[in-house]
Amino acid sequence: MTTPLRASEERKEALLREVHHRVKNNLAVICSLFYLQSTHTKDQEAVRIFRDMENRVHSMALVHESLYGSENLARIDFAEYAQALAEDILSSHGSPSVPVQLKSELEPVIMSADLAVPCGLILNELISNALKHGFPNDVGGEIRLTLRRGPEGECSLCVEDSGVGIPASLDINTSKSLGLRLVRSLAQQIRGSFELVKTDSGTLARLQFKVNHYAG
Amino acid sequence: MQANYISSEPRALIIEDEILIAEELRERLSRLGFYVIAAVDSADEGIAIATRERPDLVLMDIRLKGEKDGVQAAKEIRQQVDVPIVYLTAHSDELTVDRAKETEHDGFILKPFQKHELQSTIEVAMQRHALRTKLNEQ
Repeated sequence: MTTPLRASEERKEALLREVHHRVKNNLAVICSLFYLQSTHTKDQEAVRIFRDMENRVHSMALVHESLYGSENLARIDFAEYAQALAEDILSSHGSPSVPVQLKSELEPVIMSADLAVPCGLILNELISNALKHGFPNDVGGEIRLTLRRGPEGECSLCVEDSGVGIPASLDINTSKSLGLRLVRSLAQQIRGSFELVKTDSGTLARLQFKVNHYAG
Repeated sequence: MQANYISSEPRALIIEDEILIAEELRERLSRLGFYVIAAVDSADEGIAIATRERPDLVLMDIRLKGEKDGVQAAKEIRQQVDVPIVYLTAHSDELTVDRAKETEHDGFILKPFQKHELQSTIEVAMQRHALRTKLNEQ
């Protein structure tokens, strides 16, 4: 590579890094705004809504933070991202006296930001749902997070909790819960499929999608 | 400015270049029982206030506006005032974190701020500092 070309490449990279950093910063500021607003209300339901919004925006901010720290500035390892996101959500929900343990088994899956943002938002909803509905009344338990990638780029992302289990009446296709509605829509956007299964020990949420087939 | 002299609340200084993130910290710190002297976005302002006001705690963002970053600012504050300094940092800033770890510090807080983590890191930082002061006096 000739020197001017190399210099121009390096300049482009620096600019791109700067853009990701600024996007991340702006999203972090939005999170702070949600937090500040939540401190100005006495309505517990409103506080919960602001916290949910803060977590959703944070899941997007973390994609840009990962991009900014990644080598090629275009793709991230979703395994690393998922681990960081899960820890953040757990510590924002957790009451330290009754801990919910996180067990993760994550295979590296390199993906573009276009795919990582919807996947991150889905993961945020699944973990938040497991915490909210699986472990009511402050009981402890376990959340198992797994990410697997097949040879053709077929991936499965699972969130399994040892909680109280989903009610028999719940139909994920008609449920009015915003969280499930977001998961359904985002799964459709990435040409994936989503299911929620009651298991012997709790609830299993499974998202399946292909990294190669997603044209973004 | 006068009120804090008669108050027994510990006094904190926030140095963070995103002013709304600083506001979030201000809110969180006051819930933990701190009086926040100021929240500023540049190293030089932070150094000036820390030297003048001698706070009980400094929360320092590693990335700051202007030429000096948080690591440099922390070094300059330490040369003049003995105060626990806790760095604020994002997951991805590994390089900066490595550099910051080489300097003297009393703790790290990862963004986004979590209530329990913020509280325990600050408590540990202040206890460590108090112990160090006691040992130095002996």
